[in-house]
Amino acid sequence: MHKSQIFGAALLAFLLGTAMASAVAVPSNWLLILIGVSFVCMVVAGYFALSREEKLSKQKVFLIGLIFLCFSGGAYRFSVANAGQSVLNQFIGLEAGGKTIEFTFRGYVDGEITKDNSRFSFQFRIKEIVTPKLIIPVNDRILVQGELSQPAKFGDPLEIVAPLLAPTNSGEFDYVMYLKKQGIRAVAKSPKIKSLDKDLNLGAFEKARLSIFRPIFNIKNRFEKSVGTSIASPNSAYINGILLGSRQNIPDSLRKDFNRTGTSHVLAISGYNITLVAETLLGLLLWRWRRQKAILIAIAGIAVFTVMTGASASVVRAAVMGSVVLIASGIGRLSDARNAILFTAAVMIAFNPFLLVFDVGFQLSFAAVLGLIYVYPSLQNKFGRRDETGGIREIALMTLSAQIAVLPLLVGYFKTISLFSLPANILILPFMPAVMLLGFISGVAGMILPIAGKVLGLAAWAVSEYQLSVVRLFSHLPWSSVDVSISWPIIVAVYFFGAFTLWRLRTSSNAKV
Amino acid sequence: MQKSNLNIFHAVILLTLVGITLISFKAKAQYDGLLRIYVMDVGQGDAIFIQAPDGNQVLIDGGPDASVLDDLAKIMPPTDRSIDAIIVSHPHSDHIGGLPAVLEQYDVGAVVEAGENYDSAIFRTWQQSVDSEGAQKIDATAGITLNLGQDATITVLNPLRSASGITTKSPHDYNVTVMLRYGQMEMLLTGDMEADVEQKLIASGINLDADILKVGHHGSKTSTSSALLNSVTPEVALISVGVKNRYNHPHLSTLQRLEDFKIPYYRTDTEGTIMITSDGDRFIITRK
Repeated sequence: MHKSQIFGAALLAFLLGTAMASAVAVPSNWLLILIGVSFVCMVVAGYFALSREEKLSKQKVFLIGLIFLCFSGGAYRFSVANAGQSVLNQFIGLEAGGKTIEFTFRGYVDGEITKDNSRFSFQFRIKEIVTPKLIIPVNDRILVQGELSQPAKFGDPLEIVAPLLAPTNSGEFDYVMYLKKQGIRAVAKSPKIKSLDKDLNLGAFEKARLSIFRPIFNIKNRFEKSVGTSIASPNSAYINGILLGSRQNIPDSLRKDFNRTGTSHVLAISGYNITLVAETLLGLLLWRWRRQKAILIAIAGIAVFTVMTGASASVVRAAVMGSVVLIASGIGRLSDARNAILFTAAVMIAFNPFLLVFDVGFQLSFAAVLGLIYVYPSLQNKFGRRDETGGIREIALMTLSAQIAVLPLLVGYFKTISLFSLPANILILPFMPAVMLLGFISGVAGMILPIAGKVLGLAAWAVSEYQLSVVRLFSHLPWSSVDVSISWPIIVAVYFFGAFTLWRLRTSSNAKV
Repeated sequence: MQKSNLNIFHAVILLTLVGITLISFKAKAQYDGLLRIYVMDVGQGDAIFIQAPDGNQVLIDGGPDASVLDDLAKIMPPTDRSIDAIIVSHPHSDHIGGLPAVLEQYDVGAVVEAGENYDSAIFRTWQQSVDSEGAQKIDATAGITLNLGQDATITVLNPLRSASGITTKSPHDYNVTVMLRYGQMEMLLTGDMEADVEQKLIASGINLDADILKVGHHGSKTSTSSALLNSVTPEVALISVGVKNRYNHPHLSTLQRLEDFKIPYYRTDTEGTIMITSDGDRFIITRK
């Protein structure tokens, strides 16, 4: 077996382990035993690999050990994260005489503040809990929701007084898991908020993070406002959505139109945005600097962009993969897309094991990329390959392969199929670079000279208006969105069947060659 | 399809040109010597947009949330990123909720409000946005007139005395009530004016006669008294109200009073945005 194949198998085993632990609860003691056994397997295999004849079977033992180690490691990682021991747990939902008890928490705003009229919500990092007798140091995030009485922004030190509540599920949506995967297990509603004059006891890393993130969010806010004043609504909200992934200002009716036409992926930040950022930066930098230096700066640029967009799972996926490809091209090694995607997934899951089974964005993002890597070549074989880029045929085939790969997931989660997804995508996707470029330029111009932003904004408005008209048109056609309900075991089976078919197609076409 | 990149580039330029042409046609049609009033369908709340004959624009209240931006975008051409004045009837959230977003996206020349202090989160947000916008602040008191050009004016009828500096828990008492006039046409815009203020206005002896009445407080039973209808004698009444709102506005007794006075009325919850077009003599009412 080739080294890269072993690496790929190990990564896959890790992911499967996490998936298994997400689906069924496994006692962590068993996992520890499994980890021990597989480790012993590997050591034994390595130690006794003496004679050449035996080497092959020893390698097999080693390999099996490695795979079991990765599998149980993934499962163990999940069960540890799921148990989530924290001092904070003892303060959740405490009651006295039928009333919840209020506590005083000190910490800072750890994320962007989302506003919905006068209501706001933000993530708050608690550094200390103040009780009458003592101050307890903690380091945990909660969600704060309430009425906005004074402006606060990322990094502001605050003191909040509120009871801590455990989030609850209402309806079909798993809100508890939605918060859990963001590392949040407690909510404070309508708290009393005071700004804190006292310095928080922050580590050097935390201080550095705050002082780097603050100006990034600041620039983002100014840019979004500038787009808002330069371009008429709702086109401005759409452009902010495709550039920075901020969806909160897009009207519900328009969001629904995107969903009904299978085009809502353009509102999510993806590898496409990352590629644009990287290519633009490289293009500008290579003009003066050496390649390796330019690549380093481009990666820094990707990091800044990732922070700006709120670092959701799909953005991080694209950022890590983009950086891996850039580094590989910088040190002159071929990047294997298949291992790059597995590696990216494994790194992200190692940091946050909840993503694999509970984050729709993560799954859609990876499914789409897998579609581009595996389905696209087969489609190209089928419909004839032509060496041109940017053509309508290429866009259509790429859209189709990504759509095929995400379709079962979309049906599973949203229980609908968009019948006009393909024509709608083909009509709007070729204009994405133009509208992004025009939107970006008018936003930046508006920050410097408002009138310049408004003039350039007209062009951005015109192109985006075309795209929005297409989306609205297809959304309002009869049968644009058809309700379908398929159970999850069947959807998983469909993916296995699809993978098997692709494998058969590849082996048969290889045989022909 | 060999030079498809170039084709897309050309298409973008073409689209931009077509777009700009369309916009300028749309913009031209707006300044045709007609006054247009849009009672916008913003759900449960008030937002009324006035486009004067020579293009001056006034927004009276901004509805409960930022969705007012989309209603404005349907009326205003995308080239137009400014509003000359915003009149705030009173600081309740169903009237000012969308206004911070309006200030953020449009250049606003002046803000007309009663100036009372009112303790609410959304009102503080609004005050902060007015300060950062740097718009001219006009204290609304009876007698102040905004000249919209070409014989179109807006005159403040209430509050009778300045409310500046007063702290209140019931902002309806200081409701900014205005009369819009264009030639012979008059429209009374009442905000959330209630019967006691109506009584005070009638007693003060101001001429309240108007062709069109924007019914006060979304048709609540505590507004639009028979005495007011007697003084205003409107030909038609408009009610800005949300579908299935939790206050059960408009109240049946108010609708009954309008029917007793034989005044036809239109509601934004059933008609959507209502548009009034006037040449200064006659007016027509249409759905937008």
